[in-house]
Amino acid sequence: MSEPLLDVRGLTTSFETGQGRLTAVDDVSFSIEEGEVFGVVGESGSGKSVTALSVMRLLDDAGTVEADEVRFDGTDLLSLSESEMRSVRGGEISMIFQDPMTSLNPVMTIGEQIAEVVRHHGDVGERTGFWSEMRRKYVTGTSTESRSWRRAIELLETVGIPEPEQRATEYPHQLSGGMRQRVVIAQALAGDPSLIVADEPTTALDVSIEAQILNEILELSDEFGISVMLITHDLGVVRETCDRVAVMYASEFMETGHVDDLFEDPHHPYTEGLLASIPRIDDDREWLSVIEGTVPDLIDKPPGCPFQDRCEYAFDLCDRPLVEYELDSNRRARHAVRCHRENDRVRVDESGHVTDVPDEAVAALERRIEAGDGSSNDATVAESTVRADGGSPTGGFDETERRGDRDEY
Amino acid sequence: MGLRQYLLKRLVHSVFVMLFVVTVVFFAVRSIPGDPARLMLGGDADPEALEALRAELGLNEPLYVQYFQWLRRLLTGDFGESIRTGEPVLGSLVQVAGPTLSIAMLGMVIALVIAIPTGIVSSVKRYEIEDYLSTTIAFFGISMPAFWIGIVLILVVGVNVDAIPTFGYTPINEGVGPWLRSILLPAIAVGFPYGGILMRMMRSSMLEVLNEDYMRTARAKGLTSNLVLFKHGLQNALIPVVTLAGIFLAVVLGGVVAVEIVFGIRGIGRLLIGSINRRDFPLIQGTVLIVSFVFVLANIVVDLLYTMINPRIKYGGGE
Amino acid sequence: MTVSSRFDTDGGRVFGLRTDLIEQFIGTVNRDLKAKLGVVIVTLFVIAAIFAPELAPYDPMAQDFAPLQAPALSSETPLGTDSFGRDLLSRLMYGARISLGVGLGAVLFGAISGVLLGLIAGFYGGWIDDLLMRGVDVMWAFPWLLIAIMLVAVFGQGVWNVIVAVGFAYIDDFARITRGEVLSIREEEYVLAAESVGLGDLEIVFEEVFPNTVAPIIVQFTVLVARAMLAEATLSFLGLGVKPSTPTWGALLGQGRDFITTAWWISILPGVLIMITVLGINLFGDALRDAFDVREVDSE
Repeated sequence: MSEPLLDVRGLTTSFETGQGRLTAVDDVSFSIEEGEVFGVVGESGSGKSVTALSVMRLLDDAGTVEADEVRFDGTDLLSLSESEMRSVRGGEISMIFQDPMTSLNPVMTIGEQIAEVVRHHGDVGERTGFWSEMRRKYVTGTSTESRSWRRAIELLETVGIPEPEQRATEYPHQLSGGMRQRVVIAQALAGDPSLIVADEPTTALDVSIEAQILNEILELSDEFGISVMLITHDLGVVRETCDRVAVMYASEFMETGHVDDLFEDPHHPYTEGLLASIPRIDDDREWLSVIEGTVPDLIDKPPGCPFQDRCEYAFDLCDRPLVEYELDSNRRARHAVRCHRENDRVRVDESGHVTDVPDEAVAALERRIEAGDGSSNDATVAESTVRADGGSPTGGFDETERRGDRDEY
Repeated sequence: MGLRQYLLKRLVHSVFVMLFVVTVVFFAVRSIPGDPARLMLGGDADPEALEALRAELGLNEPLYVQYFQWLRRLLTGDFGESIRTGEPVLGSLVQVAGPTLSIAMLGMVIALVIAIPTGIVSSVKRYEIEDYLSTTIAFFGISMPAFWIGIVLILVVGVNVDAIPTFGYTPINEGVGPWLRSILLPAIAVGFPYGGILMRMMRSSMLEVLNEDYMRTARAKGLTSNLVLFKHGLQNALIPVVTLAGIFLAVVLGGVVAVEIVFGIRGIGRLLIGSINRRDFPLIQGTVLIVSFVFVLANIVVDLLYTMINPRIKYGGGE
Repeated sequence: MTVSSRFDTDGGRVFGLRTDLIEQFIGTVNRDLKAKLGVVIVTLFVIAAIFAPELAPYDPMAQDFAPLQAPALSSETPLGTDSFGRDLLSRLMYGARISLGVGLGAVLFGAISGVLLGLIAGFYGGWIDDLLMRGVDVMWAFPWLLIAIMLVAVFGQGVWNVIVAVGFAYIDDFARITRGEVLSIREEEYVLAAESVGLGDLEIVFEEVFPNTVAPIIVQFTVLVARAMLAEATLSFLGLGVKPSTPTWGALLGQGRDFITTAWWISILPGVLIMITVLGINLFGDALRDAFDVREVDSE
């Protein structure tokens, strides 16, 4: 059993707002294997991006991140100093953001935006101190003879940008949307990372180039053996691209499992609802409109399942704190569901509705809550940079089977 | 929009601004009730002189003819003569421009050097003591008339520090030290309000930049916070500030006029107020025109600066 | 479809101002110390200005006392006297009327003219818009104080001349803001709805468009009142304001200039009042800006 590349246990992120405490990520656990494409799917505001930013420690002071563990390649990210963390950002883990127009700096050449990543994370022997960088930016410009610049041009070529020498000297506004996102991909590859977090990488793009860009990300990550954490609201994209997927709703991971298992046999009512509402390829409608009701307020979020008000299977236990139920039968990968319907002792009829909740089901749940399983009560508070409790993960965690035959999109 | 197009557009714009100034000035002076010639020369002027002036000013021609004649004279650099001294307006202005320009320039430099860094610090340390302190000072800056700051400076500094004169101007050819000392207080008085404006603009511009996606990208690249701020943020934040900084030079201009009076400095402001008191209309008219012209020129320089820091204009294309 | 549905859902209007804006402002004042300070200062000075005849202890023009008396709280003239033996406190209170009045008047002049221009330009578009906005652009890069000095020099002193000379500079600000807001909201459904129901242009402008431009205009108005007061003070200081004998803060300050070293209070006290008032108005404006969420720096 080899260690996963990224192992996150009990991640909880909250923000202090004027109205109260907003829980943006609630007790989320997941792992990403080497070379794997892991999808996080959910509607906007469900906490997908904040999950990624929490792992990267990129939230500003307003956010409080707590976790049992955020282990990347053997190191606990929460225990790193800020400067150690900087070498992880862009180097070990890089990010691709939603809108290439706004995520590229409008007053810097494309070449320099890539080259600076090379300089900071690669071994090109160029100075990266504050004054060196400032002189390069405002006085001399980046030398086109420098190794970092030449590497930037190579990367532009790698991501399929024609005339890379010329393009490198241009500014983002001079490129088309698709080309810009290719630049962002090149930028993400520049630090030679082992994980790329792609946050809605195609949402801001034209539908016609969406497939190209996704393919580019997948092919390159495959070629260089990079894992991908793909954040999206598009189930179609997930199905085509991911190995495993987590469904996020109202700051919690509702169901996590192999993408085929999840699509063939969803267990969480929310996942079911999502799958039932996948639009046809040419349909722009908001797919969530099919599930009735609204997302609960995340400020001073009560314990219990956040989906219960919209759930047709809701029953007595839904008010209780959620715990994770692992499904063991014939799964391609570990499959976990946060729904009390999965409690062994709860009886469910053919249609999925609960018929009986015996006392021993309640008792079993009480014991698990008592033991702290599936809740973050025992997590040590880590205020952004403070080290969290590095204790071992609670509960067993099966190794995910890595399938080599990932479908190309 | 390419660079050349942009500059051309701005130049045409400047020409229109000047034309507007010229027109306003022309019709304002011409709409003085009564006979401008009599008004200029005074009630007891002799008829011959009156007639001569009328002819010289072309007052016997139709108004539009007068207007175009006047425009033509302006284009050849003829801004008229003072009716008191008979000297050309341009010449009189050049003689007294030294102190005015010195004060305005130093005031500007003081404002820029202090306000821009302060604005940045303030935005980064938002809602912390640094922010409260500097925004408070800036608030006072934009709430005090420059000439009053001058008076307070005279009372507080001038009276107590002998090395700093509170009256008059020492030309630079009599030594840089004395020159600097003679314009220091007036320049602070002029620069403080301008600095207050700049600081507030810089702060709010930088606050917006700090929220931009590309700043998050820069952090995600693993850059230090100083590099994120100054390499990725600074230039973007300066773009809107630069344009407004040019427009608000008018604050410096207005400040200088009154501050010269406070410090008893013979500059353009004193000349203008003196000519108003003497009802020397050609001199008033010429002074307003020339100073406006300098203001417009300054804004052309600012436009050039703007194209240098904004690649969206320097390199056209895209949307 | 109801035409004014947008406002029904927002909970109505008071004097054309949406009540949610008023609530937002009250909320900001309750939260923010600076905003409170601004409101208190502005209220105080407005009251002093309005009730100057009732509140001032003496006639501001009467030369009843010994000249150049220093301020002494226990004396008959707590803030001292000027070189003619006039009570400075009374003169300052009357001065508040002119300073605030001219400041308000000038901006009102600029606002009415500018908002009208902006509404016309934004609403009709086409060549009318082009023409008006070119004009407004030209006015933007204009050395206004200089022009104001010249206008007063030519047309003579007096309240109305100062108001117009100072207020002229603000027309373009209001025109630009109004036009921008009109353009962004005129395509919104409720205006289209109003058109389809057959409301006239004027009705649409005043019923539907104008109320929505109110927030940024109020913010700009406040900021400009502060600036107008400074401009008025400068003009008066230069002897180009309202008639020289009329007490305005700028003029009082100017008269005290000759006595800076011997009787500092004559020029310092009016300056302090100008500063506090303008500070108060600026704080007030900032509070409004925060409450209405209006941007301060806007690139062209």
